[in-house]
Amino acid sequence: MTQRPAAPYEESIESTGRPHEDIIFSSTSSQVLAQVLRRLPARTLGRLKCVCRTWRAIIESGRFIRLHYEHTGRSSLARVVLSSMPYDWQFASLDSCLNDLKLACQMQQLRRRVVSSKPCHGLLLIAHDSYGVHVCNPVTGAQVFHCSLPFKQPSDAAAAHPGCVGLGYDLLREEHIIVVLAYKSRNFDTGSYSMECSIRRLTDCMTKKVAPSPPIPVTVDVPPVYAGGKMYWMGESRFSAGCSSILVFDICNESFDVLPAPLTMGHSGRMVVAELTGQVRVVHICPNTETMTIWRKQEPVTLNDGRGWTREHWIQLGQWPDFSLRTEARLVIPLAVDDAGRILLDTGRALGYYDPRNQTLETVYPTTSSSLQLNYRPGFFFAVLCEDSLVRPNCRQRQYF
Amino acid sequence: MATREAGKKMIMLKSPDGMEFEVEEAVAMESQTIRKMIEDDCADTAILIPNINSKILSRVIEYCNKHVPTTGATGAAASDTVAPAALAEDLKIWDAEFIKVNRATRFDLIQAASYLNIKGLLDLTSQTTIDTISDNSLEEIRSFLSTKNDYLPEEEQTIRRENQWAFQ
Repeated sequence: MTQRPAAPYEESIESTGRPHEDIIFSSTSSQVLAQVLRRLPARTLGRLKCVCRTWRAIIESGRFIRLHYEHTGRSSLARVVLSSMPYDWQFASLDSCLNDLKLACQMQQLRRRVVSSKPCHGLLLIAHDSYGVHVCNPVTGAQVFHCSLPFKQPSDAAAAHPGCVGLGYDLLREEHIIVVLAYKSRNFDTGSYSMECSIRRLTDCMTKKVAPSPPIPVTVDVPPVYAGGKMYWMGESRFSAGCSSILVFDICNESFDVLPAPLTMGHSGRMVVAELTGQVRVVHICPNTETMTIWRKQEPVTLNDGRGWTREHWIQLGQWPDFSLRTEARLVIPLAVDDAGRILLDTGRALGYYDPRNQTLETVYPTTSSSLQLNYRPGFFFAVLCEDSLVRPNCRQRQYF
Repeated sequence: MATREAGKKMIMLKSPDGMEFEVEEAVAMESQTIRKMIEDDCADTAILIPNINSKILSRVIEYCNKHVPTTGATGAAASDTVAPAALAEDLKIWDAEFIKVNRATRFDLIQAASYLNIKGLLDLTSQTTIDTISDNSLEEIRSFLSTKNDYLPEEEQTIRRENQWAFQ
């Protein structure tokens, strides 16, 4: 038997740094080119990869992708795409769905409402019971399967271990991170529960348990919200510990915090956390009064008054049948605020812009003229916003070369 | 003008080829890089600007000189007889004339604007290049920027296939 000699080094193709990128960006001409190209939309850049090798090397480098995201991606939240087919998520822009009825039908086949999370630094996380967790870039269509769900989704009423999964961004290490929060056990009658949090970095794909367990129980039927380096979950009101509180997870320090939620009159309805214009909001949806209230964090946080929240919008949804909280939509989520200050509302079956100035709601999808509504009752669609970016969903996005 | 004369402080900018330019502090501070140096007290009487030659530096100063009153003296705007809209229009025409340079000079200006961190100049110089890039075919872009297509035909096909989403 031959024995291999002990080697003082390990053979590996692991990159020791980012020498390749440094070479690409060493010449002033490529620095100038990167300065110019980062102002272009992702689609144009995809085409420009064909110009020559140097251009492709620049456009595909992690450094350029970050530059481009900082310049272009953040400011371009306006496009809405619908997606379908969980095992191979496809994206179609809202405009193309409005013009193409067949496509629109294809995009509206989900049997269950999936509350979409917003894009986080260019990437989107989609979690599905059977098909697991995918991370994708809706602009380039690139998607990567990351893991199967480590829990059963709460739609399954009998599920003993429900949980939720969200995508965040570590501002310090400049990488995406999947945050999973799941119940090990819970019993509403006795009020006992145990909960666990684990994280998975996209760069190393290792799942790691977070040492401190979450201090309060949270609702897990909607995904958490990411804003400014932190993840937010609404406390579970069926447990006294989680009542009117928000769980906050600081991604950089891997530590938890609890924030008081705004106080509401009565106990009807439910609260969810949302993100608008990069900041966290609390949304109270009340089917009894058919109203939706949106709170904004007060800056600077004053301690004594209504727990540090300001009521920003109060929307009466009863007058619009598609958005009625009693009949049609049980959960209306504000997706975004456009430049004119209109709020984009998503019910899973309809999308509409609410204008706070004259209190009108304009349904943008599906339009009343489309026979889609008349013929049959389609399933839910999955509407997502997308940021115009080239960010890659694969695990090696930093050391790509 | 009188208000500017009063608190006028001069800064010396030196290019690597030995030329010296004396400019008002307010003009130099159009560059965020120089502004930071001044604010952090790192600037003596003269600031050496590396990798920007005198020809480009003089053009950059020309740009800053033109742009400083509108951005700098917003407080004095009320007493100004010229309407801000007309002023902005005038500046636009001036910018269009300023950017009529050959490609090499424009690229040098982009690099200078990027290094000195002058947002207006960087926007202006980049936008001109972007206009030519976004409206033209790949072949036209190559010839305009005198870049050679160094792909093998089959390689280009592969890249096209991989980036199908961008060609749809």
